[in-house]
Amino acid sequence: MQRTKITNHQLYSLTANGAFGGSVIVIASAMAAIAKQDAWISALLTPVIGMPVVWIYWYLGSQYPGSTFVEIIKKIFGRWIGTIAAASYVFLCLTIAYHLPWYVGNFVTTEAMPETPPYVINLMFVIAVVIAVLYGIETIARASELYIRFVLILSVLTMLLVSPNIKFENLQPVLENGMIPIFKGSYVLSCFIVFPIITMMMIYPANTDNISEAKKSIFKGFLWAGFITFITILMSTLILGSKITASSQYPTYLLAKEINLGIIFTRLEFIVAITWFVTQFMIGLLFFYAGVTGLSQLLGLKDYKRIVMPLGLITLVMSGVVFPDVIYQANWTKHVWLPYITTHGLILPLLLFLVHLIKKRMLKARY
Amino acid sequence: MVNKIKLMFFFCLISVLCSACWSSHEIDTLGISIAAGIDLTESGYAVYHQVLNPRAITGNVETVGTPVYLFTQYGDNLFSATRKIALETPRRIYNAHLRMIILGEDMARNGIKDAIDFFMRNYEFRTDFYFAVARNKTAREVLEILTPLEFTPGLNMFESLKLAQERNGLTKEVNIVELAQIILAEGYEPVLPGIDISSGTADSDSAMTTLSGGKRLFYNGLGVFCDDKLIGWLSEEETLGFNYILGNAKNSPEYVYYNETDQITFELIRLHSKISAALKDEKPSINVKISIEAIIAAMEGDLDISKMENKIIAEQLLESKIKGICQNTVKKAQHDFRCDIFGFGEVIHRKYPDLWKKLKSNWRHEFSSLPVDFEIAVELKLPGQIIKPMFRKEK
Repeated sequence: MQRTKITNHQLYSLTANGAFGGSVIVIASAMAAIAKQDAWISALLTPVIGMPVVWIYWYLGSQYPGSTFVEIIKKIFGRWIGTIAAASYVFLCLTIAYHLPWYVGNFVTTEAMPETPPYVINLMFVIAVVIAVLYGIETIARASELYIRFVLILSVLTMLLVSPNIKFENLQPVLENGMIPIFKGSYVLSCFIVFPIITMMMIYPANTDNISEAKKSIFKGFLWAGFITFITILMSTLILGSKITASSQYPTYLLAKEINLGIIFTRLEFIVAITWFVTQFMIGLLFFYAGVTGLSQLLGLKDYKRIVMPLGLITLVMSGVVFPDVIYQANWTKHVWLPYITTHGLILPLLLFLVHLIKKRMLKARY
Repeated sequence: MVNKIKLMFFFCLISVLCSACWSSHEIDTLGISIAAGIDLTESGYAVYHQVLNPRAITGNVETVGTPVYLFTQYGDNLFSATRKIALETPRRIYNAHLRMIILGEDMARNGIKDAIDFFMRNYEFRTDFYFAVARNKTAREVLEILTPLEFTPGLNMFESLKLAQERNGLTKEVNIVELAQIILAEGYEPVLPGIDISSGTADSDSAMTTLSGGKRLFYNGLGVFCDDKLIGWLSEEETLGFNYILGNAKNSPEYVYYNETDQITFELIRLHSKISAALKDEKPSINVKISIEAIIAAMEGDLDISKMENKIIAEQLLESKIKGICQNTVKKAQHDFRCDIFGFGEVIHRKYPDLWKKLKSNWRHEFSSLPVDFEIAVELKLPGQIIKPMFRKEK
């Protein structure tokens, strides 16, 4: 398999898109339900708590430069356990890959076009993802550089335009229920921001030149995502209040409906929606790419491009049936997603890290 | 060549799928509703939509029909009533341009939570329309009035409410996000403006016969809600007090009597109010600080305002008048309505959250015995174009 190199800036933008994508439109609602008006403190705490986890990711990659995550798992755990663990990781990536079109289709049919069957919207999404993966990681990385500018400008613009409606009283009383809901909220947020960076592990050790420079890029990307999430949650709480945020399905969209400056800047909510589509596309792309390359490595294929089309078709079909309705999805997110991504995003890398350290010690002790 | 054919096929497919054929609505199949109304009937709800008549509001001089049409339907719940309107109109009701929602007084007395849930859930409603309650009338009567100056009555009500906020302090604009937040907050009760019809001498349609003939719509007082049910109305002076306390009165007029013959009318151009909570022997108390900048709008009588001592006396008179109005309003809210419409409970919640946990279950009762202090500071600025009264005889 060819290993095309991506630059550090591209690594930064890929990480930022991958970390930010899951959260912007829906996470404010879950956070407001748990931490009420202190959700912004959780959003500040999460990057701090997530830094060691991201460091573990970088460290594992730096010990085995030039190999992808699947190869790292196999090298650390050995052939049999490694294959099982890697297969589980690949299954996670592919599973999440077909949730993403469902989210986009659900949003469009809820807010804009209720009569359209969601399959059509999913089809658009999957076609774009398949084309992108067929083009290769270099194209994806270049596209992510463009997307990050776009998302940053639009997010900041939206937040600025809606700022005349801020009421600081919505943040008070601060720390009303103590620190425990804040930590709970922080954990939930890290399941959306921190642990999905595990997909980057398929890309980053294999395709980067300078591993120590890569550390800065990954951390920068992660902090960028944390910052944008923080201002989104902060603005939602400041303007809508924690109770309305907690009970609406798309709080950032509702927030954008509040933009009302003069005569020109009204009815701009679809700008937020477009930002969200772009970030969902990137994160769907990253999960799909990680799943495709991981599967091809597990199966020992020479070129991952052979299996992209079949997997794309599977994704399209599964995206139509994965959740029967939104209530099922909300329950799934609450009960299944949190442990699932924690296992693969936190426990698996921790185990890898520990086993790697033990192996190194044992090797040293031999001499 | 084969690649080109594939590409062409692909483009055709994309252009068909991307044109949103499924959910596209042509604009001449939409009935744009600019005002909606809800009334309570024996078997459920009556829903009204004031729909624009596009032929009447074009730029041409010849207008056909009235600028809006009112559609009415009855149903057990709001959604089925709205959908039944399709039985009599060829256009689907499009709510994205809604400006006003009028609730009949019976409906308001029965509870408005369900209506608000309906308006927040449906994706077509935005968040920039205002609510009003028809005072002693049904929403239907309010929505049937045609208005002068502004062709569409819904837009007239909307603009008039926005303007009233800046010209006098006699009403308050409330949109759905604010209303939902206030109902959800435990220490705060909502108020909604009341809209009334002035009795005219002739029918609205022939309003052009005399200049002031015809029925007109006007905003009259604020309706006090407890939880989500209307329980009473604030009079004009109490509305002023309410707006002073919450700092909503911009450029509102106020007058004082210097003695039996002399009257000074002020315009309060800047009004800031700050509500803070304090603890007095374990019991909460509220302190309202209102700082006002006033200018003189009119003077009756001989008072010479250019003298320093007269200016100070005028300021003090205004301060005591405003204090009296605010105290009366708080007393009425505390004793007659027992409803915390000022948000004092939320102020206490923000400052003393532990104390609030004990008080909130019995807040209506606690509110009635809450001590409220006022500190009013008036600064008198320009006396208008005339400094000394023009027609005053030199004494």
